[in-house]
Amino acid sequence: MKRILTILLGIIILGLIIGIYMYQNPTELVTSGEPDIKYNTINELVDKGNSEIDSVFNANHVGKKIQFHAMVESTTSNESGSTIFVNSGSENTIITAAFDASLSNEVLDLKPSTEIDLLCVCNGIAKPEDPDDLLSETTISFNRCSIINKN
Amino acid sequence: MKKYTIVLVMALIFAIGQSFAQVFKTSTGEVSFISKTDFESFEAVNNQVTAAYSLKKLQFRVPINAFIFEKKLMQTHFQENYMESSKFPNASFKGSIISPEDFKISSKEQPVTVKGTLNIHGVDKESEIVGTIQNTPDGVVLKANFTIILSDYQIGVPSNLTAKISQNIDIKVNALLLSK
Repeated sequence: MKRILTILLGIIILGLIIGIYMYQNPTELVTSGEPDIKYNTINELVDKGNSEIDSVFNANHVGKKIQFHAMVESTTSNESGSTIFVNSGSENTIITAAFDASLSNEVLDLKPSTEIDLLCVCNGIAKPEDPDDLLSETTISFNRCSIINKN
Repeated sequence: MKKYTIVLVMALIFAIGQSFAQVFKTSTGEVSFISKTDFESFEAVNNQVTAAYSLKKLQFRVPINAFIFEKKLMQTHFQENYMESSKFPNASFKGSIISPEDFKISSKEQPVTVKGTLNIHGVDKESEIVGTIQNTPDGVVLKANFTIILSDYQIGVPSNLTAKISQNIDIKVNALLLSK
């Protein structure tokens, strides 16, 4: 009986430790590991975004790790992080990749036209809803990005 | 005949003015929110907000997945359970400045009231938001602080977490929009 109680108490304590550890686990600010989806060119991603209904694209991409090859258009940064504006090849499509502040120096060092491979978590696609929308471009955005290759 | 010509010319001038209206935009605006209860407070920040301003009209689009929390478990619950971000990936606001009536943008930070539709979690709600707008040498700065009630947007919090997650969420907006 005493043995069973000891084992039970041990399991409860272990459960509590695991629970507290999981609760305190910090958010991963830089994406790592294997991608869920890989795009070899930016056109593949843009074409996919344009051809699919946004709800279908979002259901398959939001929260997923996406690896894609792209060309830097420009970079910017502020206190909370930095952003690469990716050359989408289309005036009506904006692609942004956001990085944690710890990577800002690396991001700001990138020159326009540099080719890069990024691994990011996808925020999804947003298309204009009305013809009179001020936000008249399609936006595909990514966050917690990491640069896995640059040329 | 002369009368009609004058009206026609005026209408033409108005139409040309509208079509060349300056539009200010950003894709890196910031929205943060704070939940405060007696037991726990937490904050999340999003610096991937797209926004546009032109001729008293304002529009915001906030990718839900871009909110960064300190704790991973909170982030996962927020995105997957509460906001259902793969189903409702963006929150949005579309509205116009209603006060002051004769509003004209200037280099002075001016308080404004904006009326429009706030969409969160797929739910539309007519809202009036008070904020400020200022034309600076860097661009147009939009700022606002307001509170939303989770139940207004059908965002359900499990009963065992109601002590930790407030029903009233304080939202802070800060965006610098550049001329496009």
